[in-house]
Amino acid sequence: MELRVEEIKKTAVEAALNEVLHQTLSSAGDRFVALREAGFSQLEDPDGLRARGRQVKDRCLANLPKLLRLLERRVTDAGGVVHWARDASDARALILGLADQYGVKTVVKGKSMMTEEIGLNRALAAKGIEVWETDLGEFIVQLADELPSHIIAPAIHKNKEEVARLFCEKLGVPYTENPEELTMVARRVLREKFLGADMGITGGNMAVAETGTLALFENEGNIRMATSLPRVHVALIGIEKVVESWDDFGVLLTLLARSAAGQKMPTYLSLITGPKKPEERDGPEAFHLILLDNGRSRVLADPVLRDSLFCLRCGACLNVCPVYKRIGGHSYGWVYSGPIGILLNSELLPPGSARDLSYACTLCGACAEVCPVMIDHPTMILDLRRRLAEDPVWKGRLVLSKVLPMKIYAWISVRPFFFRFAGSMAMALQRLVAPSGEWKWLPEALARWGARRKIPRFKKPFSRRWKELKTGSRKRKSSG
Amino acid sequence: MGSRQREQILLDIERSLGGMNGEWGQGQADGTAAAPEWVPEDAPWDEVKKELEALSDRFHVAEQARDLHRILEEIIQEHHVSLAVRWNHPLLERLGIDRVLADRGVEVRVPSREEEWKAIAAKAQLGITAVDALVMESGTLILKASKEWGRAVSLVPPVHLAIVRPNQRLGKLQALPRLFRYWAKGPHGLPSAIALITGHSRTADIELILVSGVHGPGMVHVIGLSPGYDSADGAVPGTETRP
Repeated sequence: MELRVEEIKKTAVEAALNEVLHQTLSSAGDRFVALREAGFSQLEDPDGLRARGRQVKDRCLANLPKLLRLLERRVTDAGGVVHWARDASDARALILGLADQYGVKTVVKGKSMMTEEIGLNRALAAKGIEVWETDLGEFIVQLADELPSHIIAPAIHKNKEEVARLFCEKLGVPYTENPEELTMVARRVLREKFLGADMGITGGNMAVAETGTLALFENEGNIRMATSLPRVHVALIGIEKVVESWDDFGVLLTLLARSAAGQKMPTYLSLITGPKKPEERDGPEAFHLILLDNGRSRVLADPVLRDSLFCLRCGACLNVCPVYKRIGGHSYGWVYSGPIGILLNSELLPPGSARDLSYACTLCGACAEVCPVMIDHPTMILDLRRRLAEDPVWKGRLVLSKVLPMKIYAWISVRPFFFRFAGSMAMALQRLVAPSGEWKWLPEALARWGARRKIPRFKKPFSRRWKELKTGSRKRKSSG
Repeated sequence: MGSRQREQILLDIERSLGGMNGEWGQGQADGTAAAPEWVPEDAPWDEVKKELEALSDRFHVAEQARDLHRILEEIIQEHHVSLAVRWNHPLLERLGIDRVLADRGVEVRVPSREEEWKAIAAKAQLGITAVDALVMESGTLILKASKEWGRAVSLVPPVHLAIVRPNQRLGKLQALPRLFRYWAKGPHGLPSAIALITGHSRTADIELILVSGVHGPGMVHVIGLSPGYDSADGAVPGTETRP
């Protein structure tokens, strides 16, 4: 997928000017931050645990081939089938093949960033398969034909009035802005789908190689339904999600639940080991686990960006990010948003297609402070910018927009005559194009930038103003 | 296509890792199948009660059959229960739950076929289970899928009632890895599904306003049986072997 940079910029500008969105994201962010802080404050040594989480991910990635082979063996022993997909198109083809094999007409999905990553819904719909997102937030964005805008709160950008209009228009239900009533509408609609679906498709938060167990976290119960009621369960996970043992799982469980919503435990944690056993009462008859690379093995070789594969998808970095809170999730142009989105979108999309994203960061470091596995986002984002500066295409643009102006400024600023001359010129120019601080005229390329900015008035040098002040005061004294 | 993809992905990863040498086996602090440390049977239930009530769910202690009957009656009245579905579990049989509910006009179903489980669970107002373990620290119920214990019972009806024996309690969440490994190394291995349930189904996806019962039950009742629970018909729960 190619990101359309101009479109992203337009979305970001619109989002930045949308005060309602800004307030929604700020208050949601503050609430998530408070929940996380309360959750972590109960731990004896939160930073020690974060360091352990980081060690777990680091070790598991260093042993990835062995762990993936072990996971495959254990899932197969439990009666499941493991598939491998190198990219999004492989993964889509595998799932479409399975849908065909089992004669699937209706699919219910649990919230999964991976299926968003491969654009699964459109592929299934194109084959005439009915697809229903069942997480309430995902259900809302599916009805609105949008992408999720937050990892754990996909419809955070929508207020209740917008959801009410959407349900009214798409589901034909009476208009109500009451969140409880809206939620019950979704329950009613989706309950029927769960009971009639042929296939449940989910992601997975972790896969424990030791026993071949897939772990899924949630609060709604839709993932339990999607993994229990249909006759086939397909899970799609990134290759980096595998951990070695239940002990590793225990460390990451504590970190993930507390980082995401300050919980000791999510409401539901489903541990899936293969399909229903012959003697078991209910559950899917078939279980398929798809391991997707989609660029991750390439990232693994990168000494700086490799750590982004530690990400647990808790969303904590989004909640503290001043840029995310201003421009929202859709401004990042693809599935992932916020600081981790800058990294993942830049790494997983075709090289160069997400290059502007590295500038959607103030490098304030708040994200690194809250990351449960101590990912150092700012350092990595800075490295993305460094790479960009070395890119031949970008180098030219950067020379004109940043390097050359800074060099000129550096040259002028150490030459008093030229510095004073430039100051006088700037004042004269300001009188012409922005006499009151607002721009009367700007070149087309700068018009959008200038539309929202006032230019501060250039002042005479302090030495001259001081002389004028002294002269003025002497005159006042002599006249007095 | 599958095998070629597999080999290529593994090769790509190995190339990317280069000479990196992982410390294989470091993640398994306790590789034995030792049983987890259960909380003593006479330990109080206060912590579970506090945790569940903080989540707006309910915890009850039944010291004797009379208590159990009263609690069941309250649940029936509060949630207007006319149809209940339950696990075919020996503890539930011995507690005589069916009789108590039937006396109060509630039909109790224990389906025998899979399709029936789904259909009846979808109609029932109450699902009744007997848990395999409980974590005191978080009020988490742990339920294994099994021969007679359908997954849908704790999930589909709007109210879930779970019964816990006093010898099924773990103190801390840290005990979970050991429990899962203990079960995995047991004679039957891990079941296809283990559900860890901490409170009722909830969402805050619309303007972060918390709404209960979005997909699963909107209320969870947990009844803890006292070590000295003495049922009227002479059955003494809590004497079964550990899960």
